[in-house]
Amino acid sequence: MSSVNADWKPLIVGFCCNWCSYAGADLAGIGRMSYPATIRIIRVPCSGRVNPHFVIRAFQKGADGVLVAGCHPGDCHYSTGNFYTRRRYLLMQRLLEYMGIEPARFQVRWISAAEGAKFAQVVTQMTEEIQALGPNKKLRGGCTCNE
Amino acid sequence: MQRMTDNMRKRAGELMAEGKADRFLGWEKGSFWWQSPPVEIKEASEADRLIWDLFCTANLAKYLQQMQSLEGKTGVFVKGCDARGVNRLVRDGVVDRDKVYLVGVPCPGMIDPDKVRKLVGDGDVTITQLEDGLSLKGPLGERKVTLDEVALDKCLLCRHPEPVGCDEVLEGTARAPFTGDPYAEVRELEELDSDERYDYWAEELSRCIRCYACRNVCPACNCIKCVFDMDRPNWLDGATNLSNNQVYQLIRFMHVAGRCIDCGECERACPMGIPLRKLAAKVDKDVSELFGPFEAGLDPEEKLPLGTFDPNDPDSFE
Repeated sequence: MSSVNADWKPLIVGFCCNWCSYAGADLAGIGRMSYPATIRIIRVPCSGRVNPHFVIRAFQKGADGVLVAGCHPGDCHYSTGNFYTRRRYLLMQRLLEYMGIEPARFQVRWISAAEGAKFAQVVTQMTEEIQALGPNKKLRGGCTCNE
Repeated sequence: MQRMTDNMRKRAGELMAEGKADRFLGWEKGSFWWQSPPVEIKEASEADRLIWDLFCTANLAKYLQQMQSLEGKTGVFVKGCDARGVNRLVRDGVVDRDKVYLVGVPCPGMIDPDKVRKLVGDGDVTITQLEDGLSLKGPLGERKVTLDEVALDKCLLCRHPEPVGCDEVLEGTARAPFTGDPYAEVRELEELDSDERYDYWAEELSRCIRCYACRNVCPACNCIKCVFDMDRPNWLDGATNLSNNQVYQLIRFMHVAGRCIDCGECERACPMGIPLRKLAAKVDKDVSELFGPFEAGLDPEEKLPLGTFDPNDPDSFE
């Protein structure tokens, strides 16, 4: 691997639930909190909507990190959606780690609509961690020549 | 073995004559010494084709999925792992338990032909059962071994050799259930660091030819339309490369998480010798560690770990 370009910034795909985390991200914007422009947010109705396939597909298509963010357990707009999410991703996080993906690259966070600051902090922290790891080559498919 | 074979033929014939089963699934002797493939017995008079030996490895449960559309009942001989496979299919609503008649066969464990070949060479091998083990005769000579020395790895780790939930169980002795740590191999891999683990799996999975044999043979992979067969949306394209292979296996094991009965059929069916049970065991181990001890396939009405939740589940996500 050639030395990483100093200007390189990670690309993080963030799945944010419509009711909490997306609103949390919105609040971060309204409150003019600054965080690295590394995250691309995909709004989903509930964190339970996030199929494991979405996450793995994001890595395959070039994401350096994936964040799944939802309401705090117990606060789900649909009552129980994020309880299922929690089980699913506890398991998948370990499976990805077992396959050799660094744990920092895939993270799940509970961010409420009132936690704009937390959203900014999570993105900042995740960016720093992935910056240290460098571009993701694992699970990558297709052309990797533009690195 | 011979006594069990006779018993099976007799019972299959009787049950078909009584009308308790309209057809029977079992094993017959194949073309080679290491083969006992599945057979469907359609008439009571054909029951003599059935056999029971140490190569009846194939899990018959999956065949029931196709037989559901047939009229009448299907009788099946089941080992421990087949019985749990049937429970899996019944739990998933794929098989109607009322259309199945299960005859349990206590399982002594099955032979791994590769282990036999290593000992006595490849070619014509004769295996005779002795009082206290097996006698193997092959191109490299004759060897006396115990069954455990040549048994399949999955059988050595088998926790349920005695079939569960059968309509009747034939007389016989099953091997002693394994009571040790079934996840030793997984722990070994977990000790490595990320890159080493990645390299290990990259090397193994780069061999995958995506023939989908592991999916086709799996009793937990019973969806009528599999995501990997869809073209709209195209979840995964057909190209056989490392990335696609990794995605395929990751997704497949997420799909069978908490439902895999560890029958080891994926590994047996794999033409490229990929150690798929190490992935299955990892998921199995984590399910038990995270959500409480759980073994899939023991109860046809079990609650599936990923289909339910507990508000007090562990939470490392903050």
